[in-house]
Amino acid sequence: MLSASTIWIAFGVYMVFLLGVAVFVTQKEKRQKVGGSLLTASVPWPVLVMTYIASLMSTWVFFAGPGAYYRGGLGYWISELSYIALFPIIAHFTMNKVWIVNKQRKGAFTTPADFYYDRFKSPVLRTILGIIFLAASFPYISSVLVAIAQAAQYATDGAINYRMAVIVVGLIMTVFVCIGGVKSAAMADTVQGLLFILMLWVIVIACLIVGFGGSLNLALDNLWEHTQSFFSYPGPSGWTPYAGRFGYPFSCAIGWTIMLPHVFVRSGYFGDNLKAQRKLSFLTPVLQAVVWTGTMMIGLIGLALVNNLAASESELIIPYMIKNFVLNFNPVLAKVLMVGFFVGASAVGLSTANAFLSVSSAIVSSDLIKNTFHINVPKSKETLVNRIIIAVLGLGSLLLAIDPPDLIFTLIMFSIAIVMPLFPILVAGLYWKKATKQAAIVSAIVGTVLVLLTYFVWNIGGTWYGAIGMLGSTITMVVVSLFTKQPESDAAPFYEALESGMKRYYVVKDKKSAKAAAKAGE
Amino acid sequence: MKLTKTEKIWITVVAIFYILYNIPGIPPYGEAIPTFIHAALTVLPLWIAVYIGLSRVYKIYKLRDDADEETASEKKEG
Repeated sequence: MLSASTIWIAFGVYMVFLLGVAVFVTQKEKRQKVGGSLLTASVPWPVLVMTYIASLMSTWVFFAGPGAYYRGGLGYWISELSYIALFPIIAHFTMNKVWIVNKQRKGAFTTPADFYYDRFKSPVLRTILGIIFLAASFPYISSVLVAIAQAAQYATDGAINYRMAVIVVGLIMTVFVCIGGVKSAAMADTVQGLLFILMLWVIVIACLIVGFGGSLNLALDNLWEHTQSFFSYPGPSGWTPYAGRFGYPFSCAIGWTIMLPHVFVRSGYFGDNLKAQRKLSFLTPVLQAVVWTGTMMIGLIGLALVNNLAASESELIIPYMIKNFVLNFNPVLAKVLMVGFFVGASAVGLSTANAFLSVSSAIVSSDLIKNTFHINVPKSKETLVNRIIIAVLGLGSLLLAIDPPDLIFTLIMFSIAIVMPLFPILVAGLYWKKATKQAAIVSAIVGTVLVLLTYFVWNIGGTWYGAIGMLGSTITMVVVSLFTKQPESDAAPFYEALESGMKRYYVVKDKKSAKAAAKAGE
Repeated sequence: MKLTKTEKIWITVVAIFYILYNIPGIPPYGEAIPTFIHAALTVLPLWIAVYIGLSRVYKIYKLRDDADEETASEKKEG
């Protein structure tokens, strides 16, 4: 539908924007003489919120998402709303406390494992966690490149070669993160995030106008008449049974929005103050609901227009509708929407890939090179070494994407599942002084093994994801902690930092403390 | 790390609605109207409980205005 040159020009313009942001951020830091690493950031709330949302959106919003609603129906959307709402409560009880400890450590944490080490003082645990978090990152970066290259191929009816697209996009991604680091990625997310949320809704409205004269009621009536299963569980393709309605959203609540390393550092380390953390908690569910509802609407309109697409075709429902419906209605609008779809999918995908690339580089440089192999890199050469690591990881992901394994998209959900068992260790570390490093190590291993069994032996990964692994790691954490001991002095500095941080940032005004204060006054 | 009463109530209420939403067998498969009613009685209150709880907890945990100033110990180190 589009010529190869149109796609390359659109992509080129977008890449110039990205590199412009990278150069701008780097120059600004030089002017302000702000030192700092490529791999850490402290950002105000608008940047924090948008970089977090953009990291969550990934290629899911333009690709897998509409297809998932097409197959899973309204029940799938309701199940997602059930987890989206949980973010403020999980963030309050965990990530805001992680943020406080990091602030008390003067922002020294770069990887998720840094936080765990601060609490448990175990180099072995740090190495295990580093490997798990790194394993969760690689498939994600590659899958984004695969999705963008497939979009380019589909949008141009094969005029753009898949491999060429992977190479170009992969190289640009690597260069962007090498130059600008994590701050540029966050800044680019802010500028483009709102734009592509808008683009998503433009596509929704355009498809509704073309398909049903702009009437949502007409689309709903059509669905009610022909595919009533859309409105109930388990959905048109049986995608949302009772178990799936729990397993998938629960995995998203823990794995997708908290524990994946790129969102862990954003929700736990990046806010420049606690007000920013609170804005993140407050706004994330609202923005996520706006985006996810737009994605659901595309699935809904697509199903109302054509209800017999194969699973692989339904993943590309946006370009399918543009090609088969919008093109006949208005060719210019179709071209504009197709370019918007391609650039939007690339942008939100690259946001996630950039975020993963920067955090996985931090994992390699901090958790593995510095703290596992004890190789000391001189301060003056840190940035250069980080850039080399980013380049190696970026090129590695590119090579994986050129000839991806069949399981590449299954591995994305596997990434979410594999980090879930680490959540109970985080909670125990924050709230239970008797939790030991031995328990944390065994718990991480048992949880990971259970997730591997869930996927590759029991073959129930598509329903339960990391839930069984998380249950196993929770039980292990409690039982092993009760049977092992760790000197209290190991965890004492952590709790001192947490308690003094709580006093530093909060004035607690509950009835109990008011009574205690009144008593003390008497 | 101790929790306030409000935090305990908050987490309990949210957990109850989350569990209510996930009770197997409800609503029955293939029934649209019960699906809407089920969502209205579980997911909607879940959202309301999260945001009401959030605002109450924020009222208890007031942010200090001077939090980002250096603490005495940091000044000494500096």
